[in-house]
Amino acid sequence: MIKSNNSILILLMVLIFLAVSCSQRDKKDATTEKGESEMSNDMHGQAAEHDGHMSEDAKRHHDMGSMQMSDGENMTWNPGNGSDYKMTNDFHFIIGSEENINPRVIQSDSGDKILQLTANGSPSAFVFHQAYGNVGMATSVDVKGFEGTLKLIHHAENADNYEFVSINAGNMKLGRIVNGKENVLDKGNFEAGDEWINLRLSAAGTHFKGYIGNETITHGHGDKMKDGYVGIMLDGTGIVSIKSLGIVKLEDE
Amino acid sequence: MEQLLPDWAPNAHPLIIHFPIALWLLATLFDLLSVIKPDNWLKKTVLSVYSLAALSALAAFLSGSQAIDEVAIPFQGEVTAGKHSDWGHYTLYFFISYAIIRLIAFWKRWDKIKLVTILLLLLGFIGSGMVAKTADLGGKLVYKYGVGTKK
Repeated sequence: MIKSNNSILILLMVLIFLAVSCSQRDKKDATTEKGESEMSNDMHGQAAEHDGHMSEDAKRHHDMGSMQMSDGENMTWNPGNGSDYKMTNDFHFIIGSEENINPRVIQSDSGDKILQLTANGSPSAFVFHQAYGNVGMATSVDVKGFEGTLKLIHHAENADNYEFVSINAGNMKLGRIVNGKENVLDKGNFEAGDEWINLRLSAAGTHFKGYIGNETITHGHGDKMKDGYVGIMLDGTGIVSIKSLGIVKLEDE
Repeated sequence: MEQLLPDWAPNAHPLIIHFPIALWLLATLFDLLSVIKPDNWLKKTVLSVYSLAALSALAAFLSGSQAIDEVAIPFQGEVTAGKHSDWGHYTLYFFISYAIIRLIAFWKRWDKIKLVTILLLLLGFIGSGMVAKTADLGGKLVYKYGVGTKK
């Protein structure tokens, strides 16, 4: 009799477990669908304004900037028009100023507009006006004429607190600066070549990666940092050309 | 190692991952039967299958750690990839710890006590939930984001 009662108890527990699992699954599906639909809306026309992080400055300049929606998933920035282009329409500086990098927009032989920066040796970092949490960044850069370090920065609060993927002559470093102290999460090497470099990074929760094209060069882990700005930092001398800068807000499930 | 892989496989991970899922679920099923109808042979089988599941989880974890940096992941799949990796860690730690606890329980003969067997079975169900969550995220990576579908 006792044995039989035990068996019934166990079977009941198994049934409860299965029922709970199924209901959780339904709930999750509903949430995911809602999240995906919201993300799709964001990416199809409201990406630059969706989460209340956009500063007043950004709102003021939004119509003047060069943000474009490309394929419904990415937000891509391309340099604006020639002589009257002002970097501060799209970016603000957290280190240095425009004078340190002398920005100008040129046109390539193929007709692409390119932002050409001439760094004078003083570090400068310019970031978009909007703050991001989990984020993916992709840029097409030419650093052949540059001696020094180019960093893609994210979760940037100020000069002393940000995360980065840096490249310097075929070396990539993944890390963060916290209260002015550098903490390197991973290092790697890549073949620099003579062509445009497709430099990418992703910051998803506690997982951080640096890519050249589709190849993972660095992969590290660390605590999640507060939402912050994303942009580019230059520390060196010479010419850096930037064709585009893509930003993707990485959604939590 | 790469020479042993079939042409279509980007890495060993997709070939290994089904073992911990299948073995753990099989072990919990045998465990349930052994709680309902205790049997010495069944107990040994349960212990063996849980241990094999833990070992195959280790192999899945190692192959996954290698694979994550070899496959192309679209930006929108990065959060899922990170969570899959995190859940892979939690599941491995749970499976290894659980297998050790089962071995100790068998050695000390604690598995003769009904309450202990029920508690162990419940823990086994939790393990099933963990491996299901990890597998769900892995499946999403492949079927939603196309990760690892091209060599």
